Amino acid sequence: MAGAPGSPLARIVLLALYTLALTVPVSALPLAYRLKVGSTYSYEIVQRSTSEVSSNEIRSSHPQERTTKLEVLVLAFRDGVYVLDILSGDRRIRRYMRPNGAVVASPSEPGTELPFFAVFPEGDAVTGKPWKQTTSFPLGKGTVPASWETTLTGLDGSKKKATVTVTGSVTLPSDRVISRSLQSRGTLVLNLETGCPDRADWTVSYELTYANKEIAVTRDLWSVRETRSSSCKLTGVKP
Amino acid sequence: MTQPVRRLVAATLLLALLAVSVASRGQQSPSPEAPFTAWLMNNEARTMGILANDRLALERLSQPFGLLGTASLPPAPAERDLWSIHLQYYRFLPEAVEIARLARRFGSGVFARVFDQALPGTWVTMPMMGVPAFNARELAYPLNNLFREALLASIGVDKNRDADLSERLKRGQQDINADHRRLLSQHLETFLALYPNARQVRALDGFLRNGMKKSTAQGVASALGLNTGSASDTVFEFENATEPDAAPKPADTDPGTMPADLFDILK
Repeated sequence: MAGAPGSPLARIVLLALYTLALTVPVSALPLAYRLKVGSTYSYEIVQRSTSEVSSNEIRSSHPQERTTKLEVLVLAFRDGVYVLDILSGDRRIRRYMRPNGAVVASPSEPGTELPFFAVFPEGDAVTGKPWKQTTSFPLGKGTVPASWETTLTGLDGSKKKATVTVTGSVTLPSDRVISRSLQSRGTLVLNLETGCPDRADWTVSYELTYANKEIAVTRDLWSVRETRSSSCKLTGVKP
Repeated sequence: MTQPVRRLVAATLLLALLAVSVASRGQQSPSPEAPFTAWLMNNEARTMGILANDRLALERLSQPFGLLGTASLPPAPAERDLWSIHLQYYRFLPEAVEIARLARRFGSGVFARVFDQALPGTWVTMPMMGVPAFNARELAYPLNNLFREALLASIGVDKNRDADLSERLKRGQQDINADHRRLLSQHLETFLALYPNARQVRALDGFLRNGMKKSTAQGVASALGLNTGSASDTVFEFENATEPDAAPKPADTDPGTMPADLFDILK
């Protein structure tokens, strides 16, 4: 039989698969911050937000934009944890962060206010293979599940910069009247030589739709949309 | 019927009307617009509560990278614009209901005749007309007008404000632009689709859509001793539904949108 193992056709198929496996670029490398103790990393951050509401033909929008400078001072590294002072305008926070981006402590931010951070995959990150982390947020009287998916999406030609994509979501409860969604998406370009991000962009989108439903008719009352986006660019490293 | 008997009957009717008017002011009967405003406020409150919680979740998802910790932009919640528009409705609707009630009470030509015949001022000043001394004849007219104005004030009517109810309705609406009036109309339409048995809200909706008959506004002006009615010549239906509605029963809708108790949100 032509398709049996050892047959000429099976050999051709195996050879084709082997060739294909060699030509598809699959990279695996450890992703981690490698910051220099005593250095200050400066970033310029452009933040934009839009809050929109609509009710039938009435629409209102409140766009905002702000450009700020961010400085990250690497104070120490001990027991696999960086001690960072992060300065932005009048705000100064101290975070204790692992090389994979996990914040283990932040004395000036209470637990309920501490953001849910995306972290790099454990071990070697494989291109295109998402790595998922989950948690739950308190919301009203209960909790809601939240997740980040981190994926190494590519390496540049010189293999000095890795692009990491993060996709976050919070599953908000919906019913017949109210539907809500909360999602986030971003990319980070990590310089593998310097161990710090060259660039990072992310956008968080939220939507609430309030509609009254009769037997077969939906009557929209109003909807609220909110979008927040940030764009960070490394402007210098001292010393 | 002789003239004195007719006057006596008219006076009795007027006194009865005054008694009813004063008694009804002491009662806290639900306003016709109350089911609609309760529904809108409850939807607002529910949305406010959800947004407040969801924004906390939004904030926690707004910084994916621990290294790049920036402060968020100050909040600029656009929904406040919508609540401000609703605030205009909450101010205007009781005014519209009051105008409709006045029009119903005084818009009848019969009332104007009864009012003129039974006005105590007329009775008091009439004998003065025949007195040639002490400037009694000259004093009679101003005195009669004072009586009239005092009587109107006692039944809650302001001569300057209520002489032209159409103008008062226009004044009440002047802070609400055409787009916002259309939104109110759409909200009322949604409410009436959800609660078709809310007859008073339906009547109020009809009143806002159609305004008053010219004859109604003129009847009111006549009852007030003025003649400035300039209402549009359209249908006035508010008087067709005067009894307070029972709690409106919803069509097949989510029961959470219309609480039996406005303060359900606190429970």
